[in-house]
Amino acid sequence: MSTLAAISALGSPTFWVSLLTLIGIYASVTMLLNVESGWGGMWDLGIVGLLAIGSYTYTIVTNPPGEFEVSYAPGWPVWAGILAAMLMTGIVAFLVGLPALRARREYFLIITFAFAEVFRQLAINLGDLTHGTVGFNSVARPFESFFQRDALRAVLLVVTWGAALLVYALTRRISRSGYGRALRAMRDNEPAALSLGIRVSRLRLQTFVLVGVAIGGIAPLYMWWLRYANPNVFKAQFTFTAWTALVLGGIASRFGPVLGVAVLLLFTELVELIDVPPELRNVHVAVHPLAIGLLLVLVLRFRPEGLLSERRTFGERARRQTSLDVAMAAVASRLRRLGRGDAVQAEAL
Amino acid sequence: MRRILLPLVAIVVLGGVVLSCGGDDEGPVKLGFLAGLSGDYSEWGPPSQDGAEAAIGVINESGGILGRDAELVVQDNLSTPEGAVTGYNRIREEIDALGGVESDGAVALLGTVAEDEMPTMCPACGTTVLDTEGGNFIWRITASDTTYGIISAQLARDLGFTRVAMLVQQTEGTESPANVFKDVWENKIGGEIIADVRFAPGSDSYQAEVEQAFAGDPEAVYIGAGPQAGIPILREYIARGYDAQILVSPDLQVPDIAEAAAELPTGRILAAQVTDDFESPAYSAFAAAHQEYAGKAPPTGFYETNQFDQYIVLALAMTAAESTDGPAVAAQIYNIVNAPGTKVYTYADGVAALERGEQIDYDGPSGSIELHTTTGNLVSPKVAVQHIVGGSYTAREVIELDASLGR
Repeated sequence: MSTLAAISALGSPTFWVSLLTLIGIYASVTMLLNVESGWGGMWDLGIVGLLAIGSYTYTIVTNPPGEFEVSYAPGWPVWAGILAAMLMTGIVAFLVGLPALRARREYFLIITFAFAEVFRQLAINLGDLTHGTVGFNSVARPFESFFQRDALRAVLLVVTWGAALLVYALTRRISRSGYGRALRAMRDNEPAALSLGIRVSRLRLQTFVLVGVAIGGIAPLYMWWLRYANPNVFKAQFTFTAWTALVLGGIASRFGPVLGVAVLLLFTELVELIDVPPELRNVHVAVHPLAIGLLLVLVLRFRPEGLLSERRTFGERARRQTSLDVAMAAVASRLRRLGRGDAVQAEAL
Repeated sequence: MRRILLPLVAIVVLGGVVLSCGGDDEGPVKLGFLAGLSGDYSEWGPPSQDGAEAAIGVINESGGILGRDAELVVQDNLSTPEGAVTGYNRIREEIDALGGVESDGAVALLGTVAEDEMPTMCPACGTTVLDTEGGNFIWRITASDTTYGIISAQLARDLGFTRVAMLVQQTEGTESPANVFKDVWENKIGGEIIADVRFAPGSDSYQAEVEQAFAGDPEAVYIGAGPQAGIPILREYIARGYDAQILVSPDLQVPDIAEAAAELPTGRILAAQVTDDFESPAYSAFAAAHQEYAGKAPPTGFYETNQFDQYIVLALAMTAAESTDGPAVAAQIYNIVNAPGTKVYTYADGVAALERGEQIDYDGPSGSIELHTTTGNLVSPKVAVQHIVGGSYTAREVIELDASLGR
């Protein structure tokens, strides 16, 4: 006699705590991906590479000495590990961004994808530092001495969603600022943005590094949830999931990434939990990715901009703004900020 | 912002409230089966599950566990660590014990199952991490990659080779035995590694890697790879007409590889693989149960007997503990499988002996399940040399581990 986990899992506290934590982590990453890809037009297919850098940095520096056969295990406290992860991902994003950001669209996409794979290969081959293909099966978590088991998981759920809230607040602030408008202007019409004084190269690099630093802050959350740093964890699947959620939720919308992640991961779980007789299990396993693909096709067929749209986010109802409009708005914002003219003059441009 | 805050607060409250819920002590005893039914391990998934289903059938036929039916709760872990964590959390509240786990999943869950006090069996984990880190709530009832690495080196030595090349895929499951092989070959046996070629999986062709590995005319080549990389490598080997002896890692002992190498002379490809105890009365009982519950004779090489044994051991431990409580069950595992005790080969005999108040020593179709009490590993896994005959792997001889090569 056997059953799949089926509906009973829906009443399982552990299931929900784990799933909601994972949704929080993916939501944070996808919101950050939205900043650079949705608003900045930088199609990043290597987001998992930065996550890997942050995860490994955190794990390595917080490992107690002697636990693993590696050359560097200083045993730093958790807070120092988080700062180190943010610093390291920021530095790596800067170094990757310098050459990669010279390319645009699909070329940038290929370069970032390649960098992510390079990081994974480094994790495999720098065994003296990363423990090679075995990885680390022990990851330092905060509050371990204060809470037991389930309570700790609930606390980490709260921390994860606290971080997601912070990321949301950051992206909301960006979307309403001149910086955000400059990003969208740059995305829609780079020559126009350049002609209006937006320093495109610097803006792109700034954004890439900002996202890198923030991903470094999210990476430890992923490690606390997974408790395992291994090169296999950081395959392209993570990036594809984040991108699928972004497209589903609505590229360049503010809350779309969160909604997209929630819908995608919940849908994935529900498909997984469908009870089927043993003889149909192979079919069920094969149908699983098909069902997710079908969901994506349906959403894009009936809501091409995703569940939430950029127009709705930015209150653009009557007509879609032209790229020049967006660029103008960005410049107007800058002029206001710099005190070089009033808003009326800027609009008159 | 309020629109966001409210759902977040709801999430946090939900998280806190639902954690106070408890488990279910009535109804069937639920045994988790968390394995890769899709992804890299999918080739092993269905036969493994057949072995597990056969065990559940036998347990229920013999009166269940503590008078309750046994039920297998199946979860696909997508053959990934993330899938293992998600899959485990789906069923954790529901199950009384966990089985079926492979290396990646076991390592990812190592801390979690210990924290949850969840008795967990590893019937197909080779990972060297478990060489030292199991024993409390996680036990491995198959050979370690360390054993495979040593046996492969021993085999190469016994065949009289001195110059060996290596061609190894860079994944944990393939590099672990390969690294042991290299260490033992060079430092214990004194052999020479003339090329150590490592490659990332996922390519359509491995021509350059094959060229590098065979360039120095080695007497034998150790190939550590998964089936997806192994097939093009073997095709390349055949197409180029090489004649060096091939030693393969456990991951390459699947029918697809045997078929791909069918045209090679018998014995050209050798593999060390954990083998079943075909002469044991436990095996004939297992084969009958497999036929009855899976509808076919058991295959070999898919850990199906290990999958079977894990649930029999867990069920006997629950019977001995008179409870399905995790720590109580865990405390009985060594009493069930280690001497001294009445030797039993079936679940029914084990239950009967326990009811008579006897201590038991269970040996299953996979052989002796004597476990080290400190690490939870098999004391003496039974390993046989396999070679390919007519497109399928066939066991040639059981080999004893040379103690002098141990690490």
